[in-house]
Amino acid sequence: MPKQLITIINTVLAILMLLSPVISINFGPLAVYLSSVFVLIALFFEARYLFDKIKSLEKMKSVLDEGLERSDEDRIKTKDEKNKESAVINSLADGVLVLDRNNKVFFINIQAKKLLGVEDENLSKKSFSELAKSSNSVASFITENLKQKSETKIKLKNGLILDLSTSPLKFRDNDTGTLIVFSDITKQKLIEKTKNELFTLVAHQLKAPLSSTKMALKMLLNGDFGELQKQQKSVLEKTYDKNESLIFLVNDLLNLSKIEEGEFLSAKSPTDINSAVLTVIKFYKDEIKKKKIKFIFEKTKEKLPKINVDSEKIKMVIQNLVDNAIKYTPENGAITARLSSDAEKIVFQIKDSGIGVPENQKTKMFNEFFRGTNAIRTGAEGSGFGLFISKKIIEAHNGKLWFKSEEGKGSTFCFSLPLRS
Amino acid sequence: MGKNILIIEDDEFLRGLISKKLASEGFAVISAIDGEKGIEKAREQNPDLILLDLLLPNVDGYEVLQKMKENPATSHIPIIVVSNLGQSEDIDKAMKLGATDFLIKAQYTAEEIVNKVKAAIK
Repeated sequence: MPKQLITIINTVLAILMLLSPVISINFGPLAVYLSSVFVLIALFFEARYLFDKIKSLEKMKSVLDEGLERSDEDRIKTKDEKNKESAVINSLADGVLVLDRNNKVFFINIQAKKLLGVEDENLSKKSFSELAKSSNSVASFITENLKQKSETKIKLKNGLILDLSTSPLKFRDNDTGTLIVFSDITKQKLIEKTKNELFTLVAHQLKAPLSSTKMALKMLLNGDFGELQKQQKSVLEKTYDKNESLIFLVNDLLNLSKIEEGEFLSAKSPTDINSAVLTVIKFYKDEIKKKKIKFIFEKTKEKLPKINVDSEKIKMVIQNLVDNAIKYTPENGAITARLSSDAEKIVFQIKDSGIGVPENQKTKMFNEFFRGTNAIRTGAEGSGFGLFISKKIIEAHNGKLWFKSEEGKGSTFCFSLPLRS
Repeated sequence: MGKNILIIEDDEFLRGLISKKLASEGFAVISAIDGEKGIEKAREQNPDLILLDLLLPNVDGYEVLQKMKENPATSHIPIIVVSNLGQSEDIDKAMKLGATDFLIKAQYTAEEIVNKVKAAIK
């Protein structure tokens, strides 16, 4: 019987019993007996209800207990993982610094603290500029590249060389911080430097026998050691050419190692580009005559201002472009070189009627070691370095080097140099 | 009177080539295979010009150049440096020490060197 019904019946009987003297209805012992039975039944249902309630409470408790236990385990596991993560990040050879969206320190590992020369234990929430006391260049690089992807190499006051990279770190939408990684590349740089020095030394050593050979061959060709037959002369001429190209190659290699070193440009000085071009052209006078090439140099009517550049290196670029133009233009071809300027820059242009650059190889022209397939087919000597080095030189002067070309028709190579360095 | 040229160069082959060329142009050639001998011969024989290599055994070419220019007995002798070192710093250093000219070996034939000698002596 539903609990509520029994309670109602009991209540009614109880009220009637209370009112019995008033109403003079004599319920007698039967009524008392009946109501006792109903009370017992009610109690029974009440008890069962309570018992069920207790059971479900107990069940809830055990579920909660289990939950708590698991949550404890989880907490221990998380703490464990966090400790392991920290251990991993702290044992990284690289320094890691994470800034939150307000550019305050969110996380910094031991190596980062060491590389920045910071002692404090608790740096959380500090602005990073307080950290970078040991090097202003570190602070300014980070300031300029907050939340952006960038990379640079910085030399610290204590002699360490760092590779510093920044990148945005997205925690959630609208919550982006900055991840900064410091890599100590001092040792690496030292090894590179030693390798370069060795390389330079070897290249210099190579030049010695090459020079002797050059002189000896020239003297032989001149008849200093007796008159030569036609065939002997022909072979010696070819040998001389091959030797010359070896000398060029060694020079290119030496320049390459200087580029790698980063100490590539020598001191700049005011240079007259016009006379630099004339000097180079003079050097190729014989070659131009031999190939019966029509070579014209158009200079501007106004006098070009001198510009502050590494004149040896710029001469090298001019030589590279002129050399290529002559080398890859067949006999009886035409080459026109032109110098011009505007308010901001000087432009050198050289146009040839040579083999041109194949369309699908145009993007590779400035790559190291690259020579166009049609260039290789001409049999002319070339290292593939020339344009690569020339581009480096021009760009180191904040200039541009570019070309237009049509295979079989010719190419026009140009470079510009800013008037103000 | 034939002019005397002192050539200080440790590469025998090369020295031979340049000497031969100089001789064919009427010069008398004095050879030295290292810096010390070079300085000695310069003092003894007072040549009209010195061709000096920089990469020498024992005493470095720059040092030879310096010593020659410091010694009043030899400081008047024009010295043409003939070397494969060719960076602007190397050239500057030699010119500052008093060299008359700097020729990068790998860029010159024996004939061209002799022409430079003639021009310097004139």
